[in-house]
Amino acid sequence: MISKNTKKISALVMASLLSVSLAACGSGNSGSNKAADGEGGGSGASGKKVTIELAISKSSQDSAFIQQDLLDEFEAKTNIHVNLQLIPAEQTTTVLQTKLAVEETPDIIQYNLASATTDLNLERNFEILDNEPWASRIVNKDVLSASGHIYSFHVSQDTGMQGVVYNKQMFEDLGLSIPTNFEEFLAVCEKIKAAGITPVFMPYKDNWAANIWPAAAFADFVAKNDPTFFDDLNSNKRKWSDIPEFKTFLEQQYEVYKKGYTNVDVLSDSYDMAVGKFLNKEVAMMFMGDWLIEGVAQQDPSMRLGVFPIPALDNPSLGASPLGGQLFIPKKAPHLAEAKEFLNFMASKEVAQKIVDSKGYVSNLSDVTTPELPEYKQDIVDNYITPKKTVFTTDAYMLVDRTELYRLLQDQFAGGVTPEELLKAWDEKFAQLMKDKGVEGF
Amino acid sequence: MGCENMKTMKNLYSYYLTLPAILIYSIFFVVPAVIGFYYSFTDWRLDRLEIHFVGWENFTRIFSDKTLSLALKNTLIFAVATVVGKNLVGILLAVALNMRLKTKNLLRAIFYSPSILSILVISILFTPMLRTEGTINQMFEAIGLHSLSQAWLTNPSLVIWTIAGVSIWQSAGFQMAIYLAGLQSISPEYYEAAKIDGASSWKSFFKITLPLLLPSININLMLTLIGGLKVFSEVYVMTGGGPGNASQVVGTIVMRAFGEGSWGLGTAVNTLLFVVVTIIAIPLLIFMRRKEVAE
Amino acid sequence: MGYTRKLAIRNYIVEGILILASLIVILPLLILIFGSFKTSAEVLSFSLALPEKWQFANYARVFEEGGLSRAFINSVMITVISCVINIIASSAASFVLARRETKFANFLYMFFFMGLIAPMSTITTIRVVQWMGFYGSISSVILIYAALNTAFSVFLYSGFIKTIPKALDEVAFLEGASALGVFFRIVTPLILPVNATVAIMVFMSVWNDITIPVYFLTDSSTWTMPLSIYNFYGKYSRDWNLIFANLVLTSLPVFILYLFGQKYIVSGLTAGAVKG
Repeated sequence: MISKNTKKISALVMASLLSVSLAACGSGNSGSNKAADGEGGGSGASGKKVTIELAISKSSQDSAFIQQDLLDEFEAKTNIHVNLQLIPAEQTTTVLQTKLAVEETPDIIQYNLASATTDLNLERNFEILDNEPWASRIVNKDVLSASGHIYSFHVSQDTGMQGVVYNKQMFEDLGLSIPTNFEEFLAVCEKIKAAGITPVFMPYKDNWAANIWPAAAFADFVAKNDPTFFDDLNSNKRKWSDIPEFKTFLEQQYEVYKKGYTNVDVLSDSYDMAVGKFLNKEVAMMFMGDWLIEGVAQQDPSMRLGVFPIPALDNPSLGASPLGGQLFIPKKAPHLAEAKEFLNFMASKEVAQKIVDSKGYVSNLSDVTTPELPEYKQDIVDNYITPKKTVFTTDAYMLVDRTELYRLLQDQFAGGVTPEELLKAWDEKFAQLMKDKGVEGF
Repeated sequence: MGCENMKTMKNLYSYYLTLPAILIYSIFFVVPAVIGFYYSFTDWRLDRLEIHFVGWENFTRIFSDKTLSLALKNTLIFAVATVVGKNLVGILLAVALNMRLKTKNLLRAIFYSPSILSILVISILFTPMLRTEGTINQMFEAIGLHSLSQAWLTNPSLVIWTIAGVSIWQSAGFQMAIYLAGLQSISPEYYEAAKIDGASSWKSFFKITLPLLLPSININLMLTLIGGLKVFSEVYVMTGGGPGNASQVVGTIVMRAFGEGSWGLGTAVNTLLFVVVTIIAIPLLIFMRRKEVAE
Repeated sequence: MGYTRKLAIRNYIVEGILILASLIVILPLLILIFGSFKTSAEVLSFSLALPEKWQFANYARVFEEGGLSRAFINSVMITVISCVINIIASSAASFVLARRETKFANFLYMFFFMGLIAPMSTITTIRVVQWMGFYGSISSVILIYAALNTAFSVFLYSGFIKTIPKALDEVAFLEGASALGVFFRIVTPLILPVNATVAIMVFMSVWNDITIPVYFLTDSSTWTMPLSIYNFYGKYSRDWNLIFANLVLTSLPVFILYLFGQKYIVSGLTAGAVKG
């Protein structure tokens, strides 16, 4: 009995073993064939459909550049198909770094300009786009450039503003006006708290969120009082701890928490809870980028939010984020020509106009007109951009990875470091990272 | 059977049966890993064109890093806590669920179920529950145990223990399954003999169950020890090493180095971890294998 | 008589304790399951409360928006094939290693065991796959998974095969069978429960993995089920109810496999290993 069964089973196993190894070979071959086909198409053979790869973080799926109708239009016009590589948000940087290192690059990457400099080695890995047909029509080249060259593309010149996102309605109901210094800010917090609302939401489980306040305050101070500081910093002539005001700014942020003006559990609450907190009118303010306003508006268009500058100094300027979400073309892109064609298509007057209109962007192309902006955006343009009351945040001047700074900021709220120790520790790490990067003077 | 005979018998177990495993394993794991080790002696960086051999430089840097000593401490705490916790709970569950209980199949499935969930699921599930005003503290409050209410994931001195606890919750059922398989292979005749001799339950547990369970214990100790020392995902997805650097372990330090673009340094930390785990695990393995043979 | 009664009472006590203890496992899982049927606002309390109204539509939405049918097929294909390759290769190797007690066999055992300790090196693995010319293909991912789990499987098999008496293979050898024949005809049936155990464990680790496909598959339409979770990680907010529904759906296949395999794990080993 047993041996009969055994025979049956072993025959079955053998059969499945064989079929599996065949199947594995089969799919292996088809895989490599596919890759070979792709390379063949790269030479831009006419009439043949080419597929280009566009890599983008999954958290940016609502990007204007990957709307399906635009991709379809592009394909109909050029016979180039765009395949999207959606990378999980937490892994985006490492996946892109790895792909660039092993030269399996996508043809186009959407990423942040400032982070591309520190994370992806912009100059080594990406094409300079100075001579693209659309480059001459760009109004504000700075927002697309690094070290004097255009490396990226976007139809918007507004890369996002960072400050205190606040509920306008609440401010009006409580008769509050925008605070222009730290004392006024604390007074505003006190009144909001008295009304039974949490004044400030701090989601510092996501440690980068703790950097919004200092990133704007530091840069604002430097721009007004010490314009050469960042150059000195990046050539190791001075250190972060050299400026006593930085310590003050860090103390300020902590004071807001210590005085009980925030959510109780700042280290447990995460950024993804922010929209909900605003929608439920549980909180009045948050140190964040104005992209949050867009996120709230998507859920409830009747919510009236705005943004004002981080009130660390008197009469502060609004922080301009150097981030954005621009398109980049890697030097090693297998379909360089087609990738550039994609940018041409996005930059063409009609398409760019369509994007700018639908997203409410401040246009960055000379022949594309800025549509009527959402209220908060128009406020920013009128009150800060036009009178030139904006300042690039520290992110714009950083050449190295900032994660350790974020961790230190988080540690301040866990009671691990004082502002003084924080700046000293960051000085050490910063010097080490700059040295590793091979920056002169370190 | 003569000695001669035994020897020829041994040779009948032909090595060609090991070839498929050796090939797949070597090509797709060993070769890349060995080349990977080489990079730990280089200045390989995200922003360097050329890679230079730098000798022990990366390693001297690792030892001057203050966070690393904390990470080492955390890794050891995590490893010891989870080895003890997972095996103790696992063996208790297995012995209990090896009895003639009415609901044993259902209970086995329940206790095993957390281990089929991915670590992503676990962290998504537990992170909100472990908040200061989260479900777990609410439960303690509800039954009047206010003192047990803690800042589980945000108290720097508690956080690594919390993560270890979650890891035990997830994986004890897995250990249970291996112990169960081991228990099932113990012939009931041994126990019947012991019963006739009048041995108590405790006595037969220590005299029969434990020794015969040695292969399972061996497997479980090794798996939990190595898994504990190599811990990465649990910490990475629950706290990212935070608050600050309070829950950094060696595995997340590797990630940190990679994130900063220092790939050579990251690989060096990995190499170091490999050496440390080898030094701890291999002598233990040899010892246990010897015991097994002796039994 | 007295002894049996004592035994019965003891069993009842143990059972009671276990049922209580099982709450520690069940309650968090219930939060997950109930949450998957709640509205996105209701779920935020992460509590044990039943949904006010059962939102079955969550599952339909997750299934559609997450592209789960496609991801499910990818997952099944990748997991099953890599599992089968891994199990056959590892059990055959362990059989030889466990039966031979030579220095070389010991060395090979250690060679495999080191795989449990050594870290995977992503970039160099990509290089190897590139060099072989099939980077980006599903078959590369399958082989990588088979390789990654080899150490674990060999370790488990070696432990268990040792407990199986050699008497049967000796008889077969005397009848003139080859090693391959003995392995498939004698040993494989005997280690069926171990196979089930290893299969479930390897299946689990492959099924739940979320890193290999991201690095090794360039086309996101070939990605696996656990990665579909990221469809519900919004830029601004997270819909926990959908995330929970996605997690339930992703975990379900492994759970079903476990229930199915449990029978083999439990009943088989005694019959095969000891009495044989």
